[in-house]
Amino acid sequence: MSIAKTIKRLSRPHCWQPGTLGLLLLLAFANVHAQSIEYNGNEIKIALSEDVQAAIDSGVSLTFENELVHSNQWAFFHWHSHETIHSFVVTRHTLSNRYLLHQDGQVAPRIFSSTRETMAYIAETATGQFSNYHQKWSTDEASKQTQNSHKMRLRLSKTKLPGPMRLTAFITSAWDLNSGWKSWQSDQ
Amino acid sequence: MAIRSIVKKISAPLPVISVCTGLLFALSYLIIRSLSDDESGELQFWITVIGGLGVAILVFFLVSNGYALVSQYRRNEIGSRLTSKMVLIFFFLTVIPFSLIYFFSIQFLNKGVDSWFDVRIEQTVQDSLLLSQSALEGIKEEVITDVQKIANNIRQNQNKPANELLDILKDLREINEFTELSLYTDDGRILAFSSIDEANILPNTPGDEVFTELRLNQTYTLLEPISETMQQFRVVTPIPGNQLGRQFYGVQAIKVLPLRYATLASSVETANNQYAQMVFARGPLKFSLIVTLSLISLASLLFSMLTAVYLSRRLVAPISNLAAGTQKIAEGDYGSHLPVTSADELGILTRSFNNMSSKISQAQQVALASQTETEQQKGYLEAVLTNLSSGVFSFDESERLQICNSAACEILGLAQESLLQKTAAELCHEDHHAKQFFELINSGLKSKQNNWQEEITLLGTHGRQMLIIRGSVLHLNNDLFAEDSGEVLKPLENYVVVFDDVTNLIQAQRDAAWGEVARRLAHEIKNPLTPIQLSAERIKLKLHDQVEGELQETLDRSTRTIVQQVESMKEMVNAFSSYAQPVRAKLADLNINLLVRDVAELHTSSLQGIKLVLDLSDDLPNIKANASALRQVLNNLIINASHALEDCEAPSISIHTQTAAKVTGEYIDLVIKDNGSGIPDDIRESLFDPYVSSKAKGSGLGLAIVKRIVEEHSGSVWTRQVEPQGTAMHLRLPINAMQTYRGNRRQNSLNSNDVNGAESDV
Repeated sequence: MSIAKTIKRLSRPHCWQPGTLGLLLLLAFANVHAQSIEYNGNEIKIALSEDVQAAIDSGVSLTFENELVHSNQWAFFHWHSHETIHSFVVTRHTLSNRYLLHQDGQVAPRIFSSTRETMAYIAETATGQFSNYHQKWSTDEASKQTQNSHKMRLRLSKTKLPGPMRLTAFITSAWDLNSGWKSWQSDQ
Repeated sequence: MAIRSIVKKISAPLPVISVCTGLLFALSYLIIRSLSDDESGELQFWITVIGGLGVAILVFFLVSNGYALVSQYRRNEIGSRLTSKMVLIFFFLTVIPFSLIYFFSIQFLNKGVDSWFDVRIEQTVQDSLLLSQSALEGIKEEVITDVQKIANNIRQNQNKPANELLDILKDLREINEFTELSLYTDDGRILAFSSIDEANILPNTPGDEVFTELRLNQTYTLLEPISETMQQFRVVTPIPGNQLGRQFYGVQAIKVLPLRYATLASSVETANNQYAQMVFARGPLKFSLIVTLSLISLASLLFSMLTAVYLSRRLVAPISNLAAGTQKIAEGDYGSHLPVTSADELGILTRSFNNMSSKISQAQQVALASQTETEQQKGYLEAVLTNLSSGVFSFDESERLQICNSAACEILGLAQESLLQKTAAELCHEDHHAKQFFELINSGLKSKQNNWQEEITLLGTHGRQMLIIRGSVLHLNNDLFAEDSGEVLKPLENYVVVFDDVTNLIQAQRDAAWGEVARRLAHEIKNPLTPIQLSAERIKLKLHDQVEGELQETLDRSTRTIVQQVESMKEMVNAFSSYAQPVRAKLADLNINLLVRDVAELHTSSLQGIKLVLDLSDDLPNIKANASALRQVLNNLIINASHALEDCEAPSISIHTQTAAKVTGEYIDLVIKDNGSGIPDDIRESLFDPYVSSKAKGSGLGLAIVKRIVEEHSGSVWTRQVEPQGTAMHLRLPINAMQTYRGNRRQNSLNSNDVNGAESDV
């Protein structure tokens, strides 16, 4: 909340200085690794910040992306292949006071009475998706012959936020919902 | 060094302009995208980063340029001050308008964004939402009422067979225009269902949360969106169970909202969401716009500042080059050419400077050649003057001594530094032995005569000197005209004084004259004397026995007289020859006190009855002198003194030596004093001339020989009357005269062997 206040204060013209711009740029880089989606064993727990909760209640669509990658290594170099992204778009239906979840572009949404249920469903689904892909890649003959790992990352896509909100989302940690890369070895 | 070169290259105007242009385009794109919701978020992020980096690069350019300018300013490089002033002026001219524009832009931006959110619009949106909700609530109540009726109907028919129950459901669904109607047990199993879609073999089963509410005997209702434009009501109500141990049954009815209602509801929902989203995003939107505007303003401001720096450098560069060129010329580096970079007034000025520099270089070369020639002539003149045996003085128009050659200093025995740059009058007032010399020169200069000549005898550091001085007036600039006015310049009157030490020359002339006289005397007088004497003796011998008495006595007396007179004449001729012959001897160190004691000892026996007193100075230095010649001088003077003491009651002779401290140069004084009858007044002036004597006997050459020997030693001799009676003979001899001054004049050296003993005749 303090960051939101800071932004509000900085929005005032008389407070805006070029030095503040530099400070904010530093903050943007400083908050890259903040995480509000955490792994608990093989489960994922998503905790929305107040700012994000307020945004979704104000009708802002949130897009979560579950990235599943096949990570390769040669010497000291790592690269990803077989990248698959599943998207979860969460919106609030004001007339019914429900939260709608559109998964991978499906027309019919899933309906939830709260964001907690919605996030739980997303976490469960993402974990299930990774298990499915992990099982699929583990049985792949070509993959078996290499020392590879499978990774997943669930994060809120800031670039798919409404335009005016992107810059704020980039430089404030409240919007930094990112699980980070979670790896499982091939034999797992 | 390489890094500095790279920084210098990338700090050049072209990279900076490129960065600024790209930056401004990127930021302009960013501000446009800030207002849109399309899928360009990733690009927007990178543009923001690039904008920040671009600003950082511009700041780096500005700082590096500013640092370079400050360094140049501290090093006092030419042009740095003017560049700094121009940069500061440009900065002020840039920063003030930019600050104003930025301030008012922020104000307008805030006001503009706030104006989007009107209270009436917000109220309208909320009202429409409430209206929609109310309308949907009415529809929902109708659906609930219908479903509860259906539940009562099913409860009454629950004991009927399944086929009949299915038909009842189908009829009820069709009557109530439901999309789907289904019956569930309390554990969620499907008992029967009817759907408008015949191909649908499974019902849209409710979730667990629905059965939870049914267990509480509550009706579950939900408006569900099934597509972007379609919505449906799901209503589930419990039916109390009365058989087979069932607690309740559940009836679920799904009714699709009519298209008209659904479209309107969706529209209201979308509008409400968008407005709420706008309200929520108002702060971030302002922030985004302000950030972008600030980046653009900052980039523009930095670009303007850098442009100011580059423009200032470009404008000042020709002026700096001119200043540097002028400084080079001031330091003597002529002929430097500056690059002409423009055709404007600065270019004309630079070309004019190059022309001027070329002309100065040519003039300098001419002047240098002239100076070299002048120096060569001056060197030649100095060489000539140095090798001259004559002393040369040159006085300028203010009678100040400008040139004094080494011969002049040597003749006068004065240092060159003590003479140069002094006027003749100033030299006259200085206390030295040449005072009379300079007085004579001063009077010559004052006379303004073109040519004048004087003679003077000095008692200088080298002894008595006879100088001939010739002066001339030099009229300079007679043919010169002032270049600008054509006016005839006033001729400058400089003076040249040439003087020679003719002491030796006159001495040589006198020696030659007396030598000629001696030769003639020897030839004309001395030669006949011997025959005369022999003839007189022969007459006496032949006639002495032939005469007697008075005649014999007369013969003896006459021949004796003839013989005596002839002897006397021989002595006179010998003395005269001794005087006339130039004495030649080498000088050696001589203790004059020892010489005096020797001579006094020699005359002890002959000076019976005369008291001889020696008053000799103990610290008397040795002098360069010929001992034999000086011994003859002392003999002559002592004998003369003893002759003067005849008929004197208490005769005494005193000899006194001392250093002549009051006289410039180093001399010794030797004084021989007696208390005799003194020198008669009639011969006092010509006492030292030959053939001057107060006695009947004597050649009159004794004091003349004394004077000649003393003068040969560069000394002087004079007499003084002693009170109450007596005479003092003063001799002043230089301590080191001949070796330094006349060492090269072999003819002046004394030879005691040539000195015949001259007899005292005073």
